[in-house]
This record gives sequence, C-alpha cells and structure tokens, in this order.
Amino acid sequence: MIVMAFNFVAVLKATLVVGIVGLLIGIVLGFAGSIFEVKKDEKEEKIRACLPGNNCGGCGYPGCDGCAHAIFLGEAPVNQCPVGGPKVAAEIAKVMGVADVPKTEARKAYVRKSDCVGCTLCEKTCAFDSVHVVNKKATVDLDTCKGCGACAAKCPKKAIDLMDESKARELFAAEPKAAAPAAEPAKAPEAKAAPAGEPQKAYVHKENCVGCTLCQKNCPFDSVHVENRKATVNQETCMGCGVCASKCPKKTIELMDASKAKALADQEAAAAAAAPAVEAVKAEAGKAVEAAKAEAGKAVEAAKAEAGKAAEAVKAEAAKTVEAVKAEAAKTVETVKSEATEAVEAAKVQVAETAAKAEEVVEEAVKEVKMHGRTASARPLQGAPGKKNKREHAKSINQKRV
Amino acid sequence: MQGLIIIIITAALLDNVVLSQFLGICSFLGVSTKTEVALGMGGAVVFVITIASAVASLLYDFVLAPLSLGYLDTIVFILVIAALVQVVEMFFKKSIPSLYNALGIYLPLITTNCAVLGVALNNVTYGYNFIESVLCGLGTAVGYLVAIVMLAAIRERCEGCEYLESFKGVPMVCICAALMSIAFFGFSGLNI
Repeated sequence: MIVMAFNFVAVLKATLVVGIVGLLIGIVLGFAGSIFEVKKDEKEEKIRACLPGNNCGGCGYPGCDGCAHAIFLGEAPVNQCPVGGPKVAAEIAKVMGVADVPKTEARKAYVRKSDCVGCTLCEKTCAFDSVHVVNKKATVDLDTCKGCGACAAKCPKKAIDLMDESKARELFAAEPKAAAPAAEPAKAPEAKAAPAGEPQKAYVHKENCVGCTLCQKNCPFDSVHVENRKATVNQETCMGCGVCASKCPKKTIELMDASKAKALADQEAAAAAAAPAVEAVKAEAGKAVEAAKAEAGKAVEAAKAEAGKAAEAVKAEAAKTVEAVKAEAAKTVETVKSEATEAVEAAKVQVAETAAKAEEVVEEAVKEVKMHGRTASARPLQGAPGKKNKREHAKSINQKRV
Repeated sequence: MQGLIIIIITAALLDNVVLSQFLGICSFLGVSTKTEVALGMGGAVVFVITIASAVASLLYDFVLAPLSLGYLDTIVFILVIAALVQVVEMFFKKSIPSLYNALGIYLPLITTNCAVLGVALNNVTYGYNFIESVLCGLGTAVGYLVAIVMLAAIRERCEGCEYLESFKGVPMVCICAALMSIAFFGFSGLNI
C-alpha cells in the first residue's frame, strides 16, 4: 500500500509564491511593454511586409527591417530593394502614398569580359547559381540574376557592374557570341579594351613568405604552390586575379606587370640554379674561417701562457723587494727606538743631577740665611723667591730635555 | 576585499563556466564562428548574467529563503531570468538603440542559456550574499567572454589549415574546445 504523504500547506505555499511571482512578472512586463514601446508606424510594418524578407543585404541595409525603416524615413527610395524589382517598388509606393512610382527596372549584374580573369569567385559566391565561368570568362544569366550584387563585391578585378536590366541585356546582346570555344572575335575587343596595361601577374616576395599555403588553397587556377615553406607563382598559368594577394596574411604577394613579374621570377630561378655553387663556396669559406679561428685560438692560448709566466716572475720579484724593504724598515725603526730610549735615559740622569745640585745650592743658601739671620731681618723673605727660581730653572731644563 | 577579488578570479578562470563547468556550450559552439560576433555575444552575456545573478540573489534572500521554499529556486529563477532578458531587451530598444543594434540579436539567445541559470543556482549553493553573487556573476560572464572570443579566434585560424575531411566543421571545433578546456585546467594551479 502506498502512503501518500501530502502536505497541503506546503503545496499551497509553493503554488502561491510561484503564482505571485509569475503575476508580478506579467504585470512588470506589461508595463515595460507600454513604457518602452518603440512606436513603429503601421506604414513601416506594411513596407516590411512588402519586402521579400530574404535579409540578403543587397539593398545596403542590415536586412529587410533596416531597408523598411530607411524607406519609411525617406532615406531610401521605394525601389531600394534590388531583389523585389518593380513589383515590390510599386507596392511600397502604394503604401507610402507616392503617386509617382519612379520608373524602376530590375538591377542585373553584368560582367565586363575585358577585365574578367575567370577566377570563378563570382560563380562560387552567387547564391542563385546565375554566374558561370566558361572559357575563363564569367557570364551572368540575366534571367535568373536577382541583382543582389554579391558577385560584384567579391570580384577581385571589379569587373562586375550592377545596372538596369535593359542596359545589361543590350550590352549582353552586343557581346560577340562565343560560338567557337576559343572565339577569335572575343579576343579582339579585349585587346582594345585594355590597351594601356600589360596583363597583371602575381609575384611572391619570398623574404616575407611564411609558407602558410593560403595562397595555394585560394588560387582558382592552381598557379601558386608552396615548396620548402615558400610560395611560388607559376607565371605561365597565373591569371592575375589577385585572390592570393588579398588572402596573403603577410601581404607579401604583389600584383605587377607580367614582364616585371617574369623578370623577377627568372632572376629567382637563376639564383636557385646558382645556389649549389654558392653553397660550395660558402662551405669552403666556412672551413677556412674555422681553421683560421682554430689557429688564432692556439696563438692566443700560447700568448696567454707566456704572459702568465712573466706575470708570476714579476710578482715574485716584487714580493722579494717588498720583504727586503720591510726588513730594513723594521731595523731602522729598532735603531731609532733604541737611540730614543738612550737619549731619554741620559736626559733623566742629567735631570736628576741638576736637581741634586739645585738642592745643594738651596741648602747652602739656607745655611747662609741662618748664619746672617740676625743682621738682615728681611733676608728670609728673599730666600723663598730664590728657592722658587731654582726649581723653575730645573723644571725648564727638564722640559727641554724631554 | 581580497575575498571578493578571489571570487571574481575563481569564477572567471578556475571554474570557467564553459571550460570547467560545461555550461553554455550551445552558444559557445554556435556563435563562435567570427571574433566580432563572439565579442557581441560575450558582451551581451556579461550584461545579462551580472543583472540576473543580482536579481536572483535578492529573490532568494528575501522571498524564497524566508518562506523555506529554497527547492523552488530553479523554477523561479528560470521565470525571472526569461522575463528579465525581455525587459532588458525592451529597455535597450527604447533607450540605447546603439547598444540594442550591437547586442540585440544575441539577447533572445541568452534567455534560455544554461550559463545564466547555472550562475544563479551556483550562488545559492555557495551561499553567497548579494555583493558576492553579483561579482561571481560578473566573473563567470567574463570567463565566458574570454573563452568564446578565444575559440572564435582559433576557429578563424583553423580555416586556413589542412586537416582530414572527416574532422571538418563541428568535430574540429569540439577538439579545439577540448584542448582549451585542458589548457584552462592549468589555472587550478593558481595559489589563491
């Protein structure tokens, strides 16, 4: 039997809390919706509804929303959408209340064959499968082209133009029809169209090439190859489309006149051919340098050793001299000391003698004073200075001696 | 103060939301084709996660915890975060159109992003207070930004590389992400 422990209070509480939170959020969102409402005119929404909604960006605005906004503000004409063509433009004009529908025509891409190098980038880019490269020349299928301009943006030679359909058809009709595979008439206008410039070719400046192979991968003609971490352009097959140059992360691929590129490439090839000889010469030179270095090293070693010996000898002699000088100095000091001591001793003896004599004199003087004591009463007074003088005399002698 | 800095660094690098916790993988793999797009997405995530963790923390501390309804956190947080992103989107659209144009398309993607909910729930698990929750949210979001921008850069780099046909596309992205994850484990050696 299953026991159902059901706490009604807890369930009620939980339900209430979640419910109230939800309710509050609903109210807040509702208010926020009205407070932060961005007023979008009905017109703008209607315009948006007229547009195809592919968000292809062909109009130059970020998606159909952006285009609708721009048309609504009057920044863009009603026929801004290149994909919709006149039909959409008419509808939008109705919405906008523009009486005069500007005469519009669908836009189509048209390839100037003279500039096309047949790199196939347009063919790969086209979302509508409307561009095809035949005999190294791209052709736009004017029936399926939507005029979005993606191919024109990608074309490295800027050989694709967007134009009104009638003009594109006119130009297309005027083109010499390439009935035969290698149509001679097709080449003639090409030569006329670009008489000024030589055909361009890509050339890799090897010193900056890091061998990333991006150029090799992106070359539509398989004309760039990386060997030993350096890219080389095959000047025979390069069409000069410039895709490799635009992909190169080191910007070391340059488009230049074919003759210049050829000359540089030949120079390189010659250098490559000469390389073994250069290597041999380098190797020999290297060996010679090594040998010279080794000899120089030995000489330096020997010189060092000799210098060391000489230094040792000089040191020893210097040490001896120092010792002798020290000994002599010590002797001199000793003699000076002993002489000084003797002198001091003699001085002491002399001082003692002088002191004794002085005392004798004093005693005699005292005797004399005692003998003549009666005759001269002032005599004893004279004795004291005399005594004093003698002592001072002794002192001064003593000082002089010392 | 030091503790708060540690919370940010831990959330951003050590416990990187994508590479260590494996949250928000869907947008991490989906929106990392270009560096600029990844930057936009990362910016939006920083904005939303920081606000969401603040609101979720307040809600938990002042409503759920006092009523002992902690077990409802997942449901309530989902509700609140979804509504919050809506409000933020409306606010941007009205007040800061430039930011809306930059981040707007990514905001709906974040509404149901598990990383946002994950941070809010983590804050509850770790018992962070309001300030700590906000900083943890900020750190986590910065970690997400760093990871997604790095992966986008790696993917752009991989475009020019040659590898087996069978590895092209998602498998290669997964391998890159896995290697990044391993690399980020190096941060667990940080001594803080």
